[in-house]
Amino acid sequence: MLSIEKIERRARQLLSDAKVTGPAVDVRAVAKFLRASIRPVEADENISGAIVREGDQITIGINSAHPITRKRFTIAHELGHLVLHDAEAKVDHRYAQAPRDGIQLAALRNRVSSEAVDPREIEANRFAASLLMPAHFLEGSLHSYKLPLGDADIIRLAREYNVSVQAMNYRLMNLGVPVDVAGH
Amino acid sequence: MLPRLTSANVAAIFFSMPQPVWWKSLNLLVGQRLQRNRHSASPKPLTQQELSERTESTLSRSSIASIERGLQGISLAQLYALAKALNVEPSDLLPSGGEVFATPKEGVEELVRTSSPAVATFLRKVQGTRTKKGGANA
Repeated sequence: MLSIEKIERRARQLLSDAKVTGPAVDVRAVAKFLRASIRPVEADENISGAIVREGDQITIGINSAHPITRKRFTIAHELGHLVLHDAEAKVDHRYAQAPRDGIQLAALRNRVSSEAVDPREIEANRFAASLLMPAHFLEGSLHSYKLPLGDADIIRLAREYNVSVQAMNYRLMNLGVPVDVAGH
Repeated sequence: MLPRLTSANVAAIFFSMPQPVWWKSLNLLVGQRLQRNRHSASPKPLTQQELSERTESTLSRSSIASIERGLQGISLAQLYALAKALNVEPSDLLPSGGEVFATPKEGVEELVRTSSPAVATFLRKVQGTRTKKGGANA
């Protein structure tokens, strides 16, 4: 299993190579830099995306029905497989309907999921979070916020980074950013 | 009202379905061994229903059917329950590591072949109109 630090470094290096300098991360530009084309495809709700590599052609398929934040995360996740695992082909699912943004932040905050057991999936998710919400970008953003962060702050940050509130919430939690959970 | 967050759908947001490529073959190989042992049971072959009853109904007939088709994995306790019901050693139901890990690399065609129709269709769409290996246009 790759260390978190290593994954963060790979994501940061990639952003710098692809000349992405701030949020919201242009994940399509990053994909383009890696010569991967994005193809939105109609698919079952439970299919998130896939990466297919044939010869020098790399295609990332994403579920065209998913919300934009979800699509961005999927692209970043598939790029993780590409960068970290040299995947030839891979399909990614999700189990259930995701809840909508902006609810029950406190409930989410205290939960750490241990459900993902395939190390490559965990790595790809960490890579996706690092790519879309790089620690060094967040450090900059957080200058204009008062800590601990409240729910409204997290929603604003999620909008700034064009990620789901859940993803932002999780990322902040993993980075150890103080978040106000009182009052819930 | 918005849906409630449960640990299952929290996991669903962030994690994809974990599935190393050999998992599928593991379940299938276990299923095949189970079926072989059921058919060769003495004094006479057992039906799935009879096997289910012999596990003291810890496994339903439909579970046994899914297991045999490799659609469902089994727990350690279920492995022993099945071995007891068939009067064989648990190890008789287990494929060797060599068999399990010898699965071909997860190339596109292999993935299409072993996936559900929905996933296979999705993959074909992702591949798009690109010509396949050995295609007619060469």
